[in-house]
Amino acid sequence: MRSRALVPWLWLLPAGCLLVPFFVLPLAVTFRNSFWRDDDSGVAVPAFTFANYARVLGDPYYLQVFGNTLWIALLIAALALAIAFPFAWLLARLTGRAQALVFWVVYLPLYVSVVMRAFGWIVILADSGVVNQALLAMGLIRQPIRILFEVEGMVIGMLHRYLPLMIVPLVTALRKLDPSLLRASANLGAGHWYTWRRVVVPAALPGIVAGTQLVFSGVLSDYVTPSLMGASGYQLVAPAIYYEAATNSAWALAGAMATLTLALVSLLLVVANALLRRFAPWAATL
Amino acid sequence: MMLRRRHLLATGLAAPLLGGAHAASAQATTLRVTHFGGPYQILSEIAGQPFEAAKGARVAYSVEISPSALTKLQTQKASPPFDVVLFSRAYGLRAMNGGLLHKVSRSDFPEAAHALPDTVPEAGWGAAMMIDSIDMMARRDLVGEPMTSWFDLWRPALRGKVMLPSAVNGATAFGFIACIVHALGDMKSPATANEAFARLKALKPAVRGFYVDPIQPNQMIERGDIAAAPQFAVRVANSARNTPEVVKVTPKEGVLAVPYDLCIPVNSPSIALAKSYIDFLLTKPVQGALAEKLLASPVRTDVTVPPALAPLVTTDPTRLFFQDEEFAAAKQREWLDRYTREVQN
Amino acid sequence: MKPQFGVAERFHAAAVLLFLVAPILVAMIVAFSSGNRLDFPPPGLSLRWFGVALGNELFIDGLLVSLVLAAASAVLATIAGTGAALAINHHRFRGRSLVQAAVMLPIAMPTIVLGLGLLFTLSIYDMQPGLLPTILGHAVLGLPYVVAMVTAALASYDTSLERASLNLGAGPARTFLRVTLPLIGNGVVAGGVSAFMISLDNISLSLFISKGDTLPLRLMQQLQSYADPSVAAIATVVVGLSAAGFLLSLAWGARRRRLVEPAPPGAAAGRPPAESKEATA
Repeated sequence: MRSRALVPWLWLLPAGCLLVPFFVLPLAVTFRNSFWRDDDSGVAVPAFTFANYARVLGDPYYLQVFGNTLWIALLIAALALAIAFPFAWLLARLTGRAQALVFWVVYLPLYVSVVMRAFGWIVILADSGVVNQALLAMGLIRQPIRILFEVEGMVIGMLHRYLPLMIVPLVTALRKLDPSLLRASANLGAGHWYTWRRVVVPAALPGIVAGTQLVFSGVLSDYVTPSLMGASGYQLVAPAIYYEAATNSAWALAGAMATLTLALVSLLLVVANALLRRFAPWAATL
Repeated sequence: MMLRRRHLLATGLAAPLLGGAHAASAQATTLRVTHFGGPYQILSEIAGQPFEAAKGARVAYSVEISPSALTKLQTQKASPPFDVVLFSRAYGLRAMNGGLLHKVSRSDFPEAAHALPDTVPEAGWGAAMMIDSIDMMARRDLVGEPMTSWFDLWRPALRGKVMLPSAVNGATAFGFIACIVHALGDMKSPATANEAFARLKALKPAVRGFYVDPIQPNQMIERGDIAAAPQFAVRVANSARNTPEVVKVTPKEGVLAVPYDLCIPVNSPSIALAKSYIDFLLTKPVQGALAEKLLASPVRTDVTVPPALAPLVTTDPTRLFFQDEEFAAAKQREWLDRYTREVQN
Repeated sequence: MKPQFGVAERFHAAAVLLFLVAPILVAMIVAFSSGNRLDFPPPGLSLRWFGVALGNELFIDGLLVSLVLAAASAVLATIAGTGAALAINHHRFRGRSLVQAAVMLPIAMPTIVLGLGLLFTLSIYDMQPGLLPTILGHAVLGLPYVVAMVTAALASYDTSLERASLNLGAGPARTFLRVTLPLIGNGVVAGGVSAFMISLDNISLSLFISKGDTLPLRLMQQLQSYADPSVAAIATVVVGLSAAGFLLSLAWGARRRRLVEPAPPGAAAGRPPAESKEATA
């Protein structure tokens, strides 16, 4: 029936009305701007040139910025996964009020304002902050360690922000794991690690994939945390784009950087999904 | 206040239904003014309300820092969201060059007769409301002898306890470089510039870090994690007010004046009213209140501050130097790039 | 049988919780400081910064604006996202992969890019920066989260239930409301809550398309100038509100459970709770 083919599009209508004018179009405008020319007076002039892309891809400074951001994103995704997995496994097996309470704590960093969190970390990680005071008092160090406004401090701040985004999908996936499978595995003689590797991890894979995608994309596009806690020598993409666009009024250049960032993230997502489809088809999302 | 909140809720809920009508066009006698936020909210009390009492026109303030205000003017040129924009001087020039501002002249503002000559720049992009500057802030208990010169930053005792602006923080960084160049000689001479960069490079080992966010050095200095940093005078004054160990140092070689200009977007529907508002801000009582509450230097020459605030506010115009804004705009990219490559890395 | 947790597991969980809570705790303690600065430990305890914060018109208005904003954008995102998730997961159609990627793209995109792009396109729609564009912008940001949550809920969803309902004569609308929606309810609510949170905390988008009057922007403006404990105080108030909301939802959940027949003791052994709304609220 012809009308049946229309059904998915009807379901997509609200999303379309939201995304097309307020997402697709702005993206298209940004893409178009990337081919324009930056005028010295601070406006982007209509043109068609690849100069902006040449500039971004040719200048070691910008390449460094992209490299930094990718590395940090991978690092934080890996750290988040390592930390979140055992935690999520425990949380998935909690019940009732305990589970609800822990969930609330997990969500807490998300709705305490990022400004507040950054401020809290500043107090904790400063040269004269809580961590350094404690380490000095215990005699473990003789001089304060510089964590704040260094890459380490920024990583901690970002990890704090994105950890819940890794925990929640993992818990969602692990909750579906039928405990009788675990018992069956034990009954059939499998050791703890074997069960973990062959039963738990595959079941958690959709959660791992979703969480990693969320964290990775989040870090890649984070502007606020590096601005408030970042190291000045370690530039990331989002603040660099803001700097070119708002502070330098270099719209075309900013457009080129933005398009490249988007392309990079999309490429990584597609590659990741292709790999998944090959090796773990039940976890592929595309 | 309660009425305003109910009105706000009602607007918030009705806006999606009404399709976001332009609030500005609904009321012809509301002047939409921007300021930088935070302590500047005092403007509604010292300027907005008295202006309304005197002229009958309501003033609605919104918060925009210079970059975001410029961005909004550029993308909404035909129908600007503001009638009066507060820009730091460099942005005012940029906006003017982009054809976004209505040109004004000194004769538009009768009160300007009592103000410094640099209040209204030649190119006429606006009129300064107050003057900030790039001073130094220091911990008097950590620097030993009181600091009097920019070059006291190079003292060996301050090694590892100095914080400098990052190039990403363009305004502060450029201002600091300008101060050092000016301290060595003619700001427009390339030889002087080279000398300045050489000296800054030599300062590197003393630097604890390069701050991106303007509040960072204040937080560090209040805790005693650093001993000195170049910083905007208004910010230094606010810290010094709360922490007695922090002092504002106005080096003898001179500090760069950073005027905050009130500018009028070119397609604003209330140009005459805007000029009247700007003139109102140049009157003696308002200038006095600005100096007292915001701790910035007044543009009027006949304003005095209470003795208690004297160390926090620079009222002596000879300590300030005004740069050639066109020259500065032309040099900005180059000097900041050099700073990034030679000093920051 | 109650799950047994090893010592290492408990320790790790406690460490993670501490990590999540530490900066917030610190900030909350500073909120009670009697001093003028952000000292930790504070010189003394006092409630005066709460008075200052609650008396700060900009903060209170900011809170109201942010709440209205978050609610409106969450509703939009939930409606759009649920529809999109259903379309993608229940039907095979041409362009499905593309749509799926497009719907998740807002997460991958640096928000400031969206902000800049939106600023350019607002003038096309004859809109000025303010509440409405911000609601729409935040809804775009929340959409992928709703889609992700609803998709997760749909993963264990049996479409034959829908077909059964249709076969039994209930129309598509009724089927949706009485069969589909209750079964994916968990995911929809989780998605809506996520969209709400994303909006509440958003800075990089609001920076461009709002009038600078959302709560996080107000906090940032204050922090960039004054840096006094009033910022910590208002953030503590927000945390307090959410704690109250959480306790309310717990009470609501308990009330719901009491209204439903309790399952016999043995049958539900070892199974994770099927519907614990509190967990996702």
